[in-house]
Amino acid sequence: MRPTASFDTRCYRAALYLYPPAFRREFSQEIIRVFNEAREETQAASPGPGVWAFRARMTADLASAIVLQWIRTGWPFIAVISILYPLVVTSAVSSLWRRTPFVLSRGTSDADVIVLALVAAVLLVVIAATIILTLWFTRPILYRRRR
Amino acid sequence: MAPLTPAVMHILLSLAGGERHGYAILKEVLQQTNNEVRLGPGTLYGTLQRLMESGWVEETDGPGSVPDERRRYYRLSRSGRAALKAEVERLEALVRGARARGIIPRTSRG
Repeated sequence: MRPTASFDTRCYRAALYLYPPAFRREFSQEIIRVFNEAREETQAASPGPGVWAFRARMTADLASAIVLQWIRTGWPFIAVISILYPLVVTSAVSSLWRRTPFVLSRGTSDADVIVLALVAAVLLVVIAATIILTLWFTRPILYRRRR
Repeated sequence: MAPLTPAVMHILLSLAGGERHGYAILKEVLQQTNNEVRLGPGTLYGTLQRLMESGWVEETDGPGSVPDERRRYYRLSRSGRAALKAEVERLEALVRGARARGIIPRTSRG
C-alpha cells in the first residue's frame, strides 16, 4: 500500500505547480524526494522548533526558486513588453492627436464616423503589434525548447 | 570568467568527490560548510539544471552495476572540473592578496 503523504509534502507538492511546466516535469519528482528526506531527518533530529525552521527555509527556497525559474523562461519579459507596448503606442497616438489640430472641411457631414474609423484603426494597429511582438519574442524560447 | 555564485561553487565542490544524487549533494554541502549553508531543493535543482546546460555537470546512471532508477545521479564533467579549478585559483589569489595586506595573519590556518 502506498504510504500517505504528510501535510507538509502535500502542500509542497501543490506549490510545485507554480514552477514553469518544463522545469516541473523535469525535476518535480526529485525535488519532492529531497524534500521528504530532509523533512524526515529534521523531524527525527529536532521535532519541535526544528520543523518550523525547516518549513520557513523550504518556503523561502521555493519562492526564490520559482521566481528565478520564471525569469529564466523569459515569459515575464514578454508579458511586460506586451503590456507596455500597447500602452506606449496608445499614449503616443493620443498625445499626437491632441497636438495636431484635426480640422474637418465644411463639406464633411459626419465627423463622428471619421473619428470612429480612426479609433478603430489605432486599436487594430495596437492589437496587431501586440500579437506580432509576442510571436517575435517567443520565437527564441520555442526554438530553444525544440532543440 | 565571472566569479561563481556560492550555490554553484558548493555544488561543484561536492561533486568533485564523485557522483552524487540530490540529497547527497545537500548533505555534502552542509558538511563542507560546518552546517552553515543549507541549500533547498529548489535552489539545488535550479542550479543543477543551469550547470547541466552549460556542460559542467552530467547526469549518470549512478554507482554500482545495477542503476538506481529511483534516483538521478550527477557528476562533474571535465569542463566543470576546469571551471572549479579556475575559481579555486582565483580565490587563492584573493586570499594571498588579503594576507599580504595583513587582513589575515600569514600563519593563519583554515
